[in-house]
Amino acid sequence: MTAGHSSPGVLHPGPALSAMLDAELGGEEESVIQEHLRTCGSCRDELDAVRLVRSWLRAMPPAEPPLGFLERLTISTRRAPRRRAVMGTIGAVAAVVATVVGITPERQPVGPANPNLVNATANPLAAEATPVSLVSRGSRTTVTIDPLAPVGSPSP
Amino acid sequence: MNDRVPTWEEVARDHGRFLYTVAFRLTGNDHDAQDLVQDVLLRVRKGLVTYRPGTMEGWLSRIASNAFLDDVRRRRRRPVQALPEEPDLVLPSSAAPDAVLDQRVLSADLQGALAGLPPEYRAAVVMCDVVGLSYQDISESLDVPVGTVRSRIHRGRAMLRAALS
Repeated sequence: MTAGHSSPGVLHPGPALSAMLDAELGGEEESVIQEHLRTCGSCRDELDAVRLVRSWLRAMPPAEPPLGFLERLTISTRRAPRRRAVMGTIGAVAAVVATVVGITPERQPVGPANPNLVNATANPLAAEATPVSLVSRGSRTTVTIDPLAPVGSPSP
Repeated sequence: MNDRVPTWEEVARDHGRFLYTVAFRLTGNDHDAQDLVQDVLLRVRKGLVTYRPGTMEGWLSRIASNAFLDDVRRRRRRPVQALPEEPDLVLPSSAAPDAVLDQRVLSADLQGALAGLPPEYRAAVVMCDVVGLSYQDISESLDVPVGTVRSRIHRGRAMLRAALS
Protein backbone atom coordinates (compact mmCIF):
# COMPACT_ATOMS: atom_id res chain seq x y z
CA MET A 1 0.00 0.00 0.00
CA THR A 2 1.20 3.47 -0.80
CA ALA A 3 0.48 6.91 0.59
CA GLY A 4 -2.67 8.40 -0.84
CA HIS A 5 -2.63 10.58 -3.95
CA SER A 6 -5.92 12.19 -3.06
CA SER A 7 -6.47 11.31 0.61
CA PRO A 8 -3.52 12.27 2.82
CA GLY A 9 -2.90 9.75 5.54
CA VAL A 10 -4.76 6.96 3.78
CA LEU A 11 -2.84 4.04 2.27
CA HIS A 12 -3.85 3.14 -1.27
CA PRO A 13 -2.85 0.00 -3.19
CA GLY A 14 -1.27 1.86 -6.13
CA PRO A 15 0.78 -0.59 -8.25
CA ALA A 16 -0.90 -3.54 -6.57
CA LEU A 17 -4.02 -2.65 -8.57
CA SER A 18 -2.27 -3.58 -11.81
CA ALA A 19 -0.80 -6.65 -10.16
CA MET A 20 -4.31 -7.70 -9.20
CA LEU A 21 -5.52 -7.30 -12.79
CA ASP A 22 -2.59 -9.41 -13.95
CA ALA A 23 -3.29 -12.17 -11.39
CA GLU A 24 0.06 -11.46 -9.76
CA LEU A 25 -1.23 -11.11 -6.20
CA GLY A 26 -1.70 -13.60 -3.42
CA GLY A 27 -5.23 -14.22 -2.19
CA GLU A 28 -4.73 -12.42 1.11
CA GLU A 29 -3.34 -9.26 -0.48
CA GLU A 30 -6.14 -9.21 -3.02
CA SER A 31 -8.73 -9.49 -0.25
CA VAL A 32 -7.23 -6.45 1.47
CA ILE A 33 -7.34 -4.49 -1.78
CA GLN A 34 -10.92 -5.50 -2.52
CA GLU A 35 -11.90 -4.34 0.93
CA HIS A 36 -10.18 -1.02 0.32
CA LEU A 37 -11.86 -0.57 -3.05
CA ARG A 38 -15.29 -0.75 -1.43
CA THR A 39 -14.67 2.53 0.31
CA CYS A 40 -12.21 4.36 -1.96
CA GLY A 41 -13.59 5.97 -5.09
CA SER A 42 -10.24 7.30 -6.31
CA CYS A 43 -8.74 3.80 -6.28
CA ARG A 44 -11.78 2.46 -8.13
CA ASP A 45 -11.21 5.14 -10.79
CA GLU A 46 -7.53 4.25 -10.90
CA LEU A 47 -8.36 0.57 -11.28
CA ASP A 48 -10.81 1.35 -14.09
CA ALA A 49 -8.20 3.48 -15.86
CA VAL A 50 -5.43 0.89 -15.84
CA ARG A 51 -7.89 -1.89 -16.69
CA LEU A 52 -9.00 0.05 -19.76
CA VAL A 53 -5.45 0.75 -20.95
CA ARG A 54 -4.52 -2.86 -20.32
CA SER A 55 -7.39 -4.02 -22.53
CA TRP A 56 -6.40 -1.55 -25.27
CA LEU A 57 -2.79 -2.68 -25.23
CA ARG A 58 -3.74 -6.33 -25.42
CA ALA A 59 -6.12 -5.68 -28.31
CA MET A 60 -3.51 -3.93 -30.47
CA PRO A 61 -3.04 -5.74 -33.77
CA PRO A 62 0.46 -6.90 -34.72
CA ALA A 63 2.62 -4.24 -36.33
CA GLU A 64 2.94 -4.73 -40.07
CA PRO A 65 6.56 -4.77 -41.28
CA PRO A 66 7.39 -3.08 -44.60
CA LEU A 67 7.03 -5.16 -47.72
CA GLY A 68 10.01 -7.44 -48.20
CA PHE A 69 11.55 -6.77 -44.79
CA LEU A 70 11.01 -10.27 -43.47
CA GLU A 71 12.40 -11.75 -46.67
CA ARG A 72 15.49 -9.55 -46.51
CA LEU A 73 16.00 -10.24 -42.84
CA THR A 74 18.16 -13.32 -43.10
CA ILE A 75 20.24 -11.83 -45.90
CA SER A 76 21.01 -8.57 -44.14
CA THR A 77 21.68 -10.29 -40.84
CA ARG A 78 24.02 -12.76 -42.50
CA ARG A 79 25.94 -9.95 -44.20
CA ALA A 80 26.32 -7.70 -41.18
CA PRO A 81 29.38 -9.40 -39.63
CA ARG A 82 30.95 -9.74 -43.11
CA ARG A 83 30.98 -5.96 -43.50
CA ARG A 84 33.18 -5.72 -40.45
CA ALA A 85 35.46 -8.43 -41.78
CA VAL A 86 35.78 -6.65 -45.11
CA MET A 87 36.66 -3.41 -43.39
CA GLY A 88 39.38 -5.28 -41.49
CA THR A 89 40.73 -6.62 -44.76
CA ILE A 90 40.76 -3.13 -46.24
CA GLY A 91 42.68 -1.89 -43.24
CA ALA A 92 45.30 -4.56 -43.83
CA VAL A 93 45.51 -3.73 -47.54
CA ALA A 94 45.89 -0.03 -46.74
CA ALA A 95 48.69 -0.86 -44.31
CA VAL A 96 50.49 -2.88 -46.98
CA VAL A 97 50.11 -0.06 -49.49
CA ALA A 98 51.46 2.47 -47.01
CA THR A 99 54.37 0.23 -46.14
CA VAL A 100 55.37 -0.44 -49.73
CA VAL A 101 55.10 3.22 -50.68
CA GLY A 102 56.97 4.28 -47.59
CA ILE A 103 59.99 1.96 -47.97
CA THR A 104 60.43 2.28 -51.77
CA PRO A 105 60.32 5.99 -52.53
CA GLU A 106 61.66 5.48 -56.05
CA ARG A 107 58.47 3.60 -56.87
CA GLN A 108 56.06 6.28 -55.67
CA PRO A 109 53.76 7.47 -58.42
CA VAL A 110 54.72 10.93 -59.63
CA GLY A 111 51.57 11.62 -61.61
CA PRO A 112 47.94 11.88 -60.57
CA ALA A 113 46.66 9.43 -58.00
CA ASN A 114 46.20 5.98 -59.42
CA PRO A 115 42.51 5.29 -60.07
CA ASN A 116 42.80 1.81 -58.67
CA LEU A 117 44.18 3.20 -55.43
CA VAL A 118 41.35 5.69 -55.21
CA ASN A 119 38.90 2.90 -55.81
CA ALA A 120 40.54 0.84 -53.10
CA THR A 121 39.69 3.55 -50.61
CA ALA A 122 36.22 4.33 -51.86
CA ASN A 123 35.03 0.83 -52.57
CA PRO A 124 36.11 -1.80 -50.04
CA LEU A 125 34.53 -4.63 -51.97
CA ALA A 126 36.40 -3.74 -55.17
CA ALA A 127 39.67 -3.59 -53.26
CA GLU A 128 39.05 -7.00 -51.76
CA ALA A 129 38.32 -8.55 -55.14
CA THR A 130 41.07 -7.07 -57.27
CA PRO A 131 44.80 -6.48 -56.77
CA VAL A 132 45.95 -2.88 -56.43
CA SER A 133 48.59 -1.58 -58.86
CA LEU A 134 50.94 1.33 -58.32
CA VAL A 135 52.47 2.67 -61.53
CA SER A 136 55.52 4.91 -61.47
CA ARG A 137 55.86 6.99 -64.61
CA GLY A 138 59.50 7.81 -63.89
CA SER A 139 60.82 4.30 -63.61
CA ARG A 140 58.02 2.55 -65.51
CA THR A 141 57.85 0.09 -62.66
CA THR A 142 54.58 -1.54 -61.75
CA VAL A 143 53.98 -2.83 -58.26
CA THR A 144 50.97 -5.07 -57.83
CA ILE A 145 49.62 -5.77 -54.38
CA ASP A 146 47.42 -8.80 -54.02
CA PRO A 147 45.25 -8.53 -50.90
CA LEU A 148 45.19 -12.30 -50.66
CA ALA A 149 48.96 -12.59 -50.60
CA PRO A 150 50.78 -12.74 -47.22
CA VAL A 151 51.52 -9.35 -45.70
CA GLY A 152 55.03 -8.13 -46.52
CA SER A 153 55.47 -10.12 -49.69
CA PRO A 154 53.73 -8.26 -52.50
CA SER A 155 53.79 -9.95 -55.86
CA PRO A 156 56.35 -8.57 -58.32
CA MET B 1 7.33 -29.70 -27.76
CA ASN B 2 10.32 -29.64 -30.06
CA ASP B 3 13.48 -29.62 -27.96
CA ARG B 4 15.82 -29.01 -30.88
CA VAL B 5 17.59 -25.69 -30.68
CA PRO B 6 16.38 -23.63 -33.66
CA THR B 7 18.82 -22.00 -36.00
CA TRP B 8 18.84 -18.22 -36.19
CA GLU B 9 17.47 -18.47 -39.73
CA GLU B 10 14.50 -20.39 -38.35
CA VAL B 11 14.09 -17.76 -35.67
CA ALA B 12 14.07 -15.04 -38.31
CA ARG B 13 11.66 -16.92 -40.54
CA ASP B 14 9.23 -18.15 -37.88
CA HIS B 15 9.35 -15.26 -35.41
CA GLY B 16 10.36 -12.28 -37.54
CA ARG B 17 6.87 -10.83 -37.57
CA PHE B 18 6.47 -11.20 -33.80
CA LEU B 19 9.90 -9.69 -33.28
CA TYR B 20 9.05 -6.74 -35.50
CA THR B 21 5.87 -6.07 -33.51
CA VAL B 22 7.77 -6.05 -30.22
CA ALA B 23 10.49 -3.86 -31.75
CA PHE B 24 7.93 -1.43 -33.16
CA ARG B 25 6.12 -1.16 -29.83
CA LEU B 26 9.42 -0.46 -28.11
CA THR B 27 10.95 1.98 -30.58
CA GLY B 28 7.82 3.61 -31.97
CA ASN B 29 9.02 3.86 -35.55
CA ASP B 30 9.75 1.58 -38.47
CA HIS B 31 13.38 2.52 -39.03
CA ASP B 32 14.48 1.87 -35.45
CA ALA B 33 12.27 -1.22 -35.29
CA GLN B 34 14.07 -2.73 -38.28
CA ASP B 35 17.44 -1.95 -36.73
CA LEU B 36 16.36 -3.49 -33.45
CA VAL B 37 15.13 -6.68 -35.13
CA GLN B 38 18.47 -7.10 -36.86
CA ASP B 39 20.32 -6.36 -33.62
CA VAL B 40 18.30 -9.06 -31.88
CA LEU B 41 19.03 -11.60 -34.60
CA LEU B 42 22.74 -10.86 -34.40
CA ARG B 43 22.56 -11.42 -30.64
CA VAL B 44 20.66 -14.62 -31.26
CA ARG B 45 23.43 -15.87 -33.51
CA LYS B 46 25.85 -15.44 -30.64
CA GLY B 47 23.63 -16.68 -27.85
CA LEU B 48 21.46 -19.52 -29.09
CA VAL B 49 23.14 -21.97 -26.74
CA THR B 50 21.42 -20.30 -23.80
CA TYR B 51 17.97 -20.81 -25.31
CA ARG B 52 15.61 -22.99 -23.30
CA PRO B 53 12.95 -24.78 -25.37
CA GLY B 54 9.43 -23.48 -24.86
CA THR B 55 10.35 -19.87 -24.17
CA MET B 56 11.18 -18.70 -27.68
CA GLU B 57 8.96 -15.61 -27.85
CA GLY B 58 9.63 -14.70 -24.25
CA TRP B 59 13.34 -15.18 -24.85
CA LEU B 60 13.29 -13.06 -28.00
CA SER B 61 11.34 -10.28 -26.30
CA ARG B 62 13.85 -10.28 -23.45
CA ILE B 63 16.69 -9.87 -25.90
CA ALA B 64 14.76 -7.16 -27.74
CA SER B 65 13.96 -5.22 -24.57
CA ASN B 66 17.52 -5.35 -23.33
CA ALA B 67 18.90 -4.39 -26.74
CA PHE B 68 16.44 -1.50 -26.84
CA LEU B 69 17.35 -0.29 -23.35
CA ASP B 70 21.07 -0.74 -24.06
CA ASP B 71 20.67 1.45 -27.10
CA VAL B 72 18.67 4.05 -25.18
CA ARG B 73 21.30 4.24 -22.47
CA ARG B 74 24.10 4.39 -25.03
CA ARG B 75 22.69 7.09 -27.22
CA ARG B 76 20.46 9.16 -24.97
CA ARG B 77 19.39 11.08 -28.03
CA ARG B 78 17.04 13.14 -25.99
CA PRO B 79 16.64 13.70 -22.26
CA VAL B 80 14.89 10.83 -20.53
CA GLN B 81 12.44 11.46 -17.76
CA ALA B 82 13.63 10.55 -14.31
CA LEU B 83 12.21 7.45 -12.67
CA PRO B 84 11.11 8.58 -9.22
CA GLU B 85 10.44 5.86 -6.69
CA GLU B 86 6.89 7.00 -6.07
CA PRO B 87 5.87 9.50 -8.72
CA ASP B 88 2.47 11.06 -8.36
CA LEU B 89 -0.08 9.52 -10.60
CA VAL B 90 -1.70 11.79 -13.13
CA LEU B 91 -5.03 10.24 -13.73
CA PRO B 92 -8.13 11.73 -15.28
CA SER B 93 -10.64 12.74 -12.69
CA SER B 94 -13.13 10.34 -14.13
CA ALA B 95 -12.12 7.27 -16.09
CA ALA B 96 -14.39 6.13 -18.86
CA PRO B 97 -14.12 2.35 -19.04
CA ASP B 98 -17.02 2.05 -21.43
CA ALA B 99 -15.53 4.37 -24.04
CA VAL B 100 -15.63 2.83 -27.49
CA LEU B 101 -13.02 4.07 -29.93
CA ASP B 102 -12.14 3.04 -33.42
CA GLN B 103 -9.50 0.36 -33.06
CA ARG B 104 -7.24 1.69 -35.77
CA VAL B 105 -7.26 5.22 -34.43
CA LEU B 106 -6.79 3.92 -30.92
CA SER B 107 -3.90 1.73 -31.97
CA ALA B 108 -2.09 4.68 -33.56
CA ASP B 109 -2.81 6.90 -30.58
CA LEU B 110 -1.74 4.19 -28.20
CA GLN B 111 1.48 3.66 -30.10
CA GLY B 112 2.14 7.39 -29.92
CA ALA B 113 1.46 7.42 -26.19
CA LEU B 114 3.73 4.42 -25.70
CA ALA B 115 6.53 6.31 -27.38
CA GLY B 116 6.07 9.05 -24.79
CA LEU B 117 6.70 6.74 -21.84
CA PRO B 118 10.12 6.59 -20.22
CA PRO B 119 11.91 3.68 -21.94
CA GLU B 120 12.13 1.62 -18.77
CA TYR B 121 8.36 1.90 -18.23
CA ARG B 122 7.72 1.18 -21.90
CA ALA B 123 9.78 -2.00 -21.83
CA ALA B 124 7.92 -3.30 -18.78
CA VAL B 125 4.50 -2.49 -20.26
CA VAL B 126 5.36 -4.06 -23.62
CA MET B 127 6.71 -7.21 -22.03
CA CYS B 128 3.58 -7.52 -19.92
CA ASP B 129 0.78 -6.42 -22.24
CA VAL B 130 2.17 -7.12 -25.71
CA VAL B 131 4.25 -10.23 -25.05
CA GLY B 132 2.32 -11.51 -22.02
CA LEU B 133 5.25 -12.31 -19.73
CA SER B 134 4.79 -12.75 -15.98
CA TYR B 135 6.17 -10.19 -13.55
CA GLN B 136 8.79 -12.72 -12.47
CA ASP B 137 9.95 -13.25 -16.06
CA ILE B 138 10.10 -9.49 -16.63
CA SER B 139 12.02 -9.06 -13.39
CA GLU B 140 14.62 -11.61 -14.47
CA SER B 141 14.78 -10.24 -18.00
CA LEU B 142 15.37 -6.64 -16.97
CA ASP B 143 17.34 -7.52 -13.86
CA VAL B 144 15.17 -5.44 -11.54
CA PRO B 145 13.10 -6.49 -8.49
CA VAL B 146 9.53 -7.70 -9.00
CA GLY B 147 8.30 -4.69 -7.02
CA THR B 148 9.95 -2.40 -9.53
CA VAL B 149 8.31 -4.27 -12.39
CA ARG B 150 4.94 -3.94 -10.69
CA SER B 151 5.45 -0.22 -10.21
CA ARG B 152 6.65 0.42 -13.77
CA ILE B 153 3.75 -1.46 -15.30
CA HIS B 154 1.14 0.28 -13.19
CA ARG B 155 2.57 3.76 -13.62
CA GLY B 156 3.17 3.17 -17.29
CA ARG B 157 -0.47 2.21 -17.78
CA ALA B 158 -1.61 5.19 -15.71
CA MET B 159 0.53 7.55 -17.81
CA LEU B 160 -0.89 6.06 -21.00
CA ARG B 161 -4.42 6.58 -19.73
CA ALA B 162 -3.63 10.18 -18.86
CA ALA B 163 -2.05 10.77 -22.26
CA LEU B 164 -5.09 9.36 -24.05
CA SER B 165 -7.77 11.05 -22.00
